[in-house]
Amino acid sequence: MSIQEERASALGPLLRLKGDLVSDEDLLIQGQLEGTLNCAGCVTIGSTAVLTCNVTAQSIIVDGKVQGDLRAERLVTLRSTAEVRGDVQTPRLEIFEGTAFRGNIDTSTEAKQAEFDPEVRARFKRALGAP
Amino acid sequence: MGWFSEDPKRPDASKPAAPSSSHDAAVPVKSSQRALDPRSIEPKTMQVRSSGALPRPSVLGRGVHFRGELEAQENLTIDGTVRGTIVQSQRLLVGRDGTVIGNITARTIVIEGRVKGDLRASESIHLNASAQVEGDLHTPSLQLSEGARYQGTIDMQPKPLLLPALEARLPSASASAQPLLTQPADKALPEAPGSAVRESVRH
Repeated sequence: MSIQEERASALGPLLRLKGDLVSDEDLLIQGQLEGTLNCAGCVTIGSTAVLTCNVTAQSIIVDGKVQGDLRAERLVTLRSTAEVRGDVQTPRLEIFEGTAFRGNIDTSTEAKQAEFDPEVRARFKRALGAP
Repeated sequence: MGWFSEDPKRPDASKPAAPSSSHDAAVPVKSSQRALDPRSIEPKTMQVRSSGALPRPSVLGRGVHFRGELEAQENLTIDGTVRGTIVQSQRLLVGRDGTVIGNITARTIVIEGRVKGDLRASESIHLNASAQVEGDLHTPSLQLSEGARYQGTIDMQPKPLLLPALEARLPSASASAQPLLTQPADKALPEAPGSAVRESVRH
């Protein structure tokens, strides 16, 4: 377990990415990302992170800054240091005191599942040229 | 809030298996069904919360695929797939499972996986035994392990201070090489004898 945790994907604070990121595993982002983010696991957006992108994931935890829409299959958590500007679509939402948020929220259960369909994700990955 | 006491190790079972799972992933549980199972929600979150606070080295894991431009002012390990350029990295390690298609610029580059593209290191490049590299290498120091597969040109650039004469010649050489490369290509199109004929045939 500990080995797995160490090997889990993490993008440090001095990392800047511009493009499309697809992940099958949990992701911790402390740096900057511009583009799109699609994750089959849980995305943690750390306190030093600055994201300018739409995020689609199983669950999303935000400590940092995000400009873009958040769509989670299960859960979105905006913690107290989070600054989010964009729409949130998730069946379950948690917002901590101190969060700066501006945007629409949709927690209706009929939130579109198509985005998270494994087949859609696989197609997306193939489009990216992943093996 | 009973889930705070959940064992953080549990989510492993529900974790999607790593790299080759893109096909498997298309088959199993419908995403809508998974969303309704509350037991599988909480432990997952718990796990990431606990690990999120720790300072960790930058790693792009096996399940991560990125296309675009990547700039890292720190050490970086790539076990996933990157298509695009990697610049300003400190120590870059492309792990056994890592694949990079694109050019890499870093201080030190260590390759254990597959790379297709040019590598530029200001300090050194190591190609380990499991490496498969196709592209040019520009580095003052190179280590190539037995077993590594490599195809390309190696340029172990001389230190500028040691060879000032050669360095002085370089800019002029590249300046004269430029027009040679571009001019014939430009001229070839309008002057090609066949093009006029083809035009008249179309009309």
